[in-house]
Amino acid sequence: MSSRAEEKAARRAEREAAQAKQQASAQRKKRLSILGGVVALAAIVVVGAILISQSGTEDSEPGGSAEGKAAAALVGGIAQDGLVLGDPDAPLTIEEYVDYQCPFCGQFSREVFPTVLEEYVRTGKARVVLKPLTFLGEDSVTAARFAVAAGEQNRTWQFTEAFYAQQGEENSGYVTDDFLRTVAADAGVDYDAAVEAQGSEAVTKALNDAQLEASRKGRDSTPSFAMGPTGGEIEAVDANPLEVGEFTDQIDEQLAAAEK
Amino acid sequence: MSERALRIAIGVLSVVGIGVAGYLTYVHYADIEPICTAGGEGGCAKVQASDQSELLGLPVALLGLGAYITLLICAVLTTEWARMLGALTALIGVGFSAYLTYESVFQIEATCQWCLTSSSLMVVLACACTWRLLRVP
Repeated sequence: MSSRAEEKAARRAEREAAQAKQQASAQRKKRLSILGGVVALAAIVVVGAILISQSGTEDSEPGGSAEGKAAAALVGGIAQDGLVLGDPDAPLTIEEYVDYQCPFCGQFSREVFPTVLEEYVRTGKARVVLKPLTFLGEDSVTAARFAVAAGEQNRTWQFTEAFYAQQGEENSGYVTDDFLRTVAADAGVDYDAAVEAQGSEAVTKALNDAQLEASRKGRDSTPSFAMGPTGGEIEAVDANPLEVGEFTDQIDEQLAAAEK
Repeated sequence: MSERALRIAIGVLSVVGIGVAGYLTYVHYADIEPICTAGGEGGCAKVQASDQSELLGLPVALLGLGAYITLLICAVLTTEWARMLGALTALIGVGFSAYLTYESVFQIEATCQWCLTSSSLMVVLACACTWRLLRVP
């Protein structure tokens, strides 16, 4: 009798254990399948987001180059008006005479200008006025016309920085439509609108004015710089623009004078 | 780790994430440069100005902020749905962060410690939320 009861109890315990095991296993399976579903859904959303993100990049910037984009981003968020970069009320005005083909202009832009941008322009101490000259060759004219045309979109400076980041050999004929398309893409310039504007009277006049001013004031080497109080007398400076320290010392000096 | 401990951990990490993403969202709309202590000169500014910093016109920082807020809500709630939504959000976050980190390093060629912090937070959150979903409540 007692042995039968014991047997019964043992069987029940066994049954219960098996049941619990089955339940736990079913529970585990259920949780894993929930996780599987969640992971699958997450993967779909992520792939979708990446596709959208990538297509967004391509839509606005066909071609484009990473180094050009990075260079253009340096002036992002700074006020621009045509060829002028920076706060219109900045105490100091810096005029920069350049030729887009001039290698030292490129070097200045890549090595020294970022410091000037961060310390003086972004902080509202100085504004920079671009004076594009075109004496080195055909490509200089093509690039400068496009750059000034991009000023109508207030993107001349993005274009300029992106251009210098990919500057080619002087007069090698590298300033092709494709090249400009890439730089425009990097700079966020509407290529078609800029092409449309590049032959306009306004662009021609801007280039002529810069040329006339350069000849009149003897600022015909590039890059050359003139500084002075905004709205006042802007005079040529002789600091070596390729030496960061020397150049920023000169800016400090001019800034102190301008703020007096 | 108990359910309670996991929820506390997820909650705390979400709050840190809200701080980071909130700051980047603020920086985006105020059009100022984020404070950058790592990643080289102007690294954060470059990353913030990149194309990849927006998705469908929304700054990714704002999307991140939304994700962290969702995670915080899921940590507060105790339902099965909260566990699932939490894991889903964190896994999406981790996947998209991985993509953004890849783009930042190889396409934009600049890094930003804020974004990297957020990516790391998402990895930990994804582990915690997956664990929470898997363990039998």
